[in-house]
Amino acid sequence: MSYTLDDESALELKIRNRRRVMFIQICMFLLIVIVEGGINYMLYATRSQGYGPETIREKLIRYWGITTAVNAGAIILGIVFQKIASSRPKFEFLENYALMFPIIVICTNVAYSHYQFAGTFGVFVLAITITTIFEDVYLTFISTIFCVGGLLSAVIARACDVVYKTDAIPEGIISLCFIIIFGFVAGDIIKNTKKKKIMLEDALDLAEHASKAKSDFLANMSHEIRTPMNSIVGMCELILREPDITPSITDYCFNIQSSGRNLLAIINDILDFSKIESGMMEIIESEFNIGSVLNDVINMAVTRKGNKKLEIIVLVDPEIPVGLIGDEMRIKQIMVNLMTNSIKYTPEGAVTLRITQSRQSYGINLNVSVEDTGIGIHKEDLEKLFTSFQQVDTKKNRAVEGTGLGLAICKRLVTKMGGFINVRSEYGKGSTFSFTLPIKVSNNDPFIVVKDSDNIRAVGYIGLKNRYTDNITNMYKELIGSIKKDLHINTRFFMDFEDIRDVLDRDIDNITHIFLGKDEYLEHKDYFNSLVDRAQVVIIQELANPIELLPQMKCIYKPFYALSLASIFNNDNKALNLSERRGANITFSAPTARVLLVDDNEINLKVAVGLMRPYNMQVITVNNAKSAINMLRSKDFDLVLMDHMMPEMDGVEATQFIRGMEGEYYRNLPIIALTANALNGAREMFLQNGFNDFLAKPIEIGSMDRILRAWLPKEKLCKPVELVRNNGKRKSDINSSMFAVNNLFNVETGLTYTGGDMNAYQDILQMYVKKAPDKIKHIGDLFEAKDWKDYVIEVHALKSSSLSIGARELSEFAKKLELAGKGNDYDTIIKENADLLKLYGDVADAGKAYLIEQEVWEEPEVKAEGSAELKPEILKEGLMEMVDKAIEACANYDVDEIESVVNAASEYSYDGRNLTEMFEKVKAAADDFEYEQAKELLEKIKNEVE
Amino acid sequence: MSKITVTCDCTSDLSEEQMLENNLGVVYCHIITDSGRFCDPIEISARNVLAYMDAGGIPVTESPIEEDFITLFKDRLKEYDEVIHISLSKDISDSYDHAMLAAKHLGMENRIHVVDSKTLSSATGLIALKAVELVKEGKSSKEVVDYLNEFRNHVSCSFVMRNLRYLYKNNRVSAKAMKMCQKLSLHPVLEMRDGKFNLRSIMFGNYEKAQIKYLNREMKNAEKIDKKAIFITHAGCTVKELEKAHDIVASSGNFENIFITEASATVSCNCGPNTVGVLYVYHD
Repeated sequence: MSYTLDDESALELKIRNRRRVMFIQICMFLLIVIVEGGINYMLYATRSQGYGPETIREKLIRYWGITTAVNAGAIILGIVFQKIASSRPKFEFLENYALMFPIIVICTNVAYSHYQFAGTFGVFVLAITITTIFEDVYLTFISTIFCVGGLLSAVIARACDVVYKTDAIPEGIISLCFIIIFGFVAGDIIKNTKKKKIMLEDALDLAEHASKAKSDFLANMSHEIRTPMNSIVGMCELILREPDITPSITDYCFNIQSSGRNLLAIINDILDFSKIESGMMEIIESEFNIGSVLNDVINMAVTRKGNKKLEIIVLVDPEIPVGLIGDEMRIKQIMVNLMTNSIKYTPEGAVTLRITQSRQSYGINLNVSVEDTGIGIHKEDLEKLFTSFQQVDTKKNRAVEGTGLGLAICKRLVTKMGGFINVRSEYGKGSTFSFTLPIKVSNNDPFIVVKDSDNIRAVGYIGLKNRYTDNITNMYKELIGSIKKDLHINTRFFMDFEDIRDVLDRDIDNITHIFLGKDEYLEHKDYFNSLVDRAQVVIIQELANPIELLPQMKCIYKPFYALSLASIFNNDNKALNLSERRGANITFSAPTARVLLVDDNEINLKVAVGLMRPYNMQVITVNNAKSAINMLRSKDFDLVLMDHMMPEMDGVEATQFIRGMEGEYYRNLPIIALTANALNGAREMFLQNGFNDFLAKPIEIGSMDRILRAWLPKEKLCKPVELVRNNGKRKSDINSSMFAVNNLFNVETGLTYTGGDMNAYQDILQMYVKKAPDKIKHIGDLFEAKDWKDYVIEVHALKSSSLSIGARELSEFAKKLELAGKGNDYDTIIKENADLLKLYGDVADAGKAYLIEQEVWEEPEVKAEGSAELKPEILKEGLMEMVDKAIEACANYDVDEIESVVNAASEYSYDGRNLTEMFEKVKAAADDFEYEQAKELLEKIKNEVE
Repeated sequence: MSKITVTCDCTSDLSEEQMLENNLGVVYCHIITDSGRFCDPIEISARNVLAYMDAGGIPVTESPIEEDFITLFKDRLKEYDEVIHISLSKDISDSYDHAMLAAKHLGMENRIHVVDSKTLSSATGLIALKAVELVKEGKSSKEVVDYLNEFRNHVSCSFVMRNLRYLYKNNRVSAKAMKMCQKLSLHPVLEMRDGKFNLRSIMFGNYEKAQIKYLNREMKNAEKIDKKAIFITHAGCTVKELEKAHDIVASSGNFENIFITEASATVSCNCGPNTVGVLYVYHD
């Protein structure tokens, strides 16, 4: 950390220095001129020096005048240096010589005149040099003592000398004078050094306090701002995932999310800049895929472009390795910044993003450039481009929003990552921003591969000629050329309809893919429609105002580039359109994994649960650290996501506590910090306090996917469920054998809830079928008893359990009656209950039939009627104790404890009934994780007993 | 007639447009920092390397290796019959030797001709441009090479530097010389003579004035300078400094082309920021 004195203190110090020097110079002048000159005269003018007879005038000149003139001249020169240095900043360096030069001249002069003084001069220069260079007070004192000691002995020696003893007193006086001068100088320097040291210590303290205050402010602001942003952005994400929302709601929601992200981006810029300036920016390296970065950058660019008449062209080297190691977030941030700038400053034309690589021994150099046909930058402005808070050409660009921090942050980030950033520009024509980063590689396979490229014959018709400027046309030609070359596919692009028609008419049987621009397709719609069954027709169009396509057609939203074409060729359905691009971040599912989510904020919990839903994990939520600890005591989890800042016991304390609990399990349990405080040092702090990793809020899907994938047990990861939209409805798209059993339940649908795991699905179906008779009876009993409260609870449970096996119709029916019950519409329930129970029975029968067919059906244990023996009677107190224990276990979501109580209860009876019967339903509810329901049943038992 | 192509090192400091216009092939040097190895000028520019040095970094320059030359020559020989490569002075770089080794490795010494420019920066560029001109005139490779071997003695390459700090960092001068320059505000004017650095003169005092003095001195005998093209090559100079330099040169003679180019990172990391040089062909 560097610090400087504030301007005022620095100026004060300078003025004091100058005054000090002037004072010394004046003293020296008086001493030298009067004392030294006088003594010189006394000593030598009174004796014969071998110059022959001299007049007093001659003596004065020789022994006083010359020496004094030289000495005075030196002092005057010092004063002149001082004056020049203070009046002209350019000559400030002369101040250093203001004192030194005269001293050297005078001392040399005096040393020449008084050989004795040579010793004085020598030793005191030593003391002053030590003081000046080392600024060590003690060293100076010690050297000064030695100097004085040496001098005294020299004077005494002179006094004892037979020949020169008369010189002893005058020499002694001179030496004393110079001891005083040099002592004064040395003392002054020491005093000054001490003062400077104190001032610097004070400044350092102040700087440290300021830095700490700034860090605290950053941490608080980061948390306070990011927490609500997490809700806004996260909730929008959840809405966008709903299957049945209309396009207009999708649009509105996307806009809210987009604006939220923009606001977050601005806040992040300011916080980032502050971090960088404080030296607190951290680069966190992890494995990433350039395709995912590209995906996000392009999404942003398309959104940012809006309705501008602007082409976004992407040229990317498909051979870039699929596994790179770097700070994905920061690299994306730089690319997004550059793209945003280019789009902002390009009213129309094109923005071209190029990504290439050069292979190195350590991995690759990733070269990214963003070229635009925008307004360009003046040469003079290029020099200040990467300076903070400066937008260039501000008058002209007044309408362009921005904090002016983007490029400054980019430069610092690139430098921090060991890379370099550059800009070239021509005013009025456009600019090219480029940066290079050295990146390590974890997987050398190319990130874009076209499978079966030898069998692909593609043609394309995109009317570049009359639509774009030459510049843009050339860029598109370059793009098409590079795609052909880099993907190694046989492809031809045409700019005239007649040319492509010729080829298609002649050779359609050998063509596998036809790529058409939207306008080109619409101009000759009938003709191209006639080809849909003979080759894959792909329409390339803008995301805004897309046209309706035939079902056999596919669509690529612009910008089309190597990855989007490869997806078509590979039938990946990836990266086709904006909404599907978002879903591309889910890379697995984990139906048997159990995750504990701890956060005191209800909305955050909802957001996180929603975001994790595609992974089909068992997610249990608690809203405080103590409950989390209790939960961990009672149940095994595969992963814990722990919020950092919580009241009473925060995430750090909780984690430390967990790590201290007995057992290897608690030491090895992966605990991930969920934090809105994503500052420098945060990661290290979390790791030091027992966390395994951290996930910043707002939660980015990609980051969450990476964290879950990294920390869940590998054996629990299954392939992901791919969800594609089909006329606004989601449907799963899994490549395994599917069939529907009548219309009662659909295995395909049920498998979506187990991530495609057939074994897990069959287990769930088995349990469902076995419980069905008891459940049907129980619902019937509740209906008869008109116990609507419990009835609603049961049909609510039936709704979700039916959906989990794919019995959608039954689930919808149960939902209907649940809503009727909640709305006190008992007539509907009375009318339709019988049908519900019949359907329930039919579904269970069909499920059993399916399981038998699959040869996985296990017959349940049959209890002979009336054969149950009455167990020993338990006292009322004992029973109450059991019930209370079970209620507490429900509050702690401890299904194991509940099971233990039920097992204990099964050994007893009360009031002529075995407790097994009373607690059976409690156990069943707990098995379904319906803790509230179980608790209510227990409360009921308690009331009955009391 | 044999089809001849001309190639040069990236340190010839010609602009991208000049390279394209003259169909010049180029082989790249690299700059090695503590974080990576970067291709000059594609991945690293003069300003980048100067900023890196100012931040305390010590870059290492790496001349093109034999494999780089092999790739370049092979690529060129697909379309052309012969290659004439103009290299940086062999007394200050390994580039010439590596080019020769590459030619030997390919067994094409009769088709690949390497010319030691005995100079650097845009002076090498001037020689490369002359080679292109001669090839266009239909001269044979031997004629071109022979001409260039004589021509290179008439190319002036000199520049004024603020101090010797960057040359010292690259072990080209001693610490003593560097410190003396700094303490006494001396600004050396270096020139390339017989392939080596030589101290032509020293400027005192204010550096902006020293630059102007240097330029005026260079332009004193403007009538002897070939008017076709003159280069003002710089490292990290401001727009104002370059405009001033351009004005001085333009006012000294009726030059057809005054090219202002930025030196490559490789050259810049030796001379330091605010270095400016005037490079031209002169007649006796």
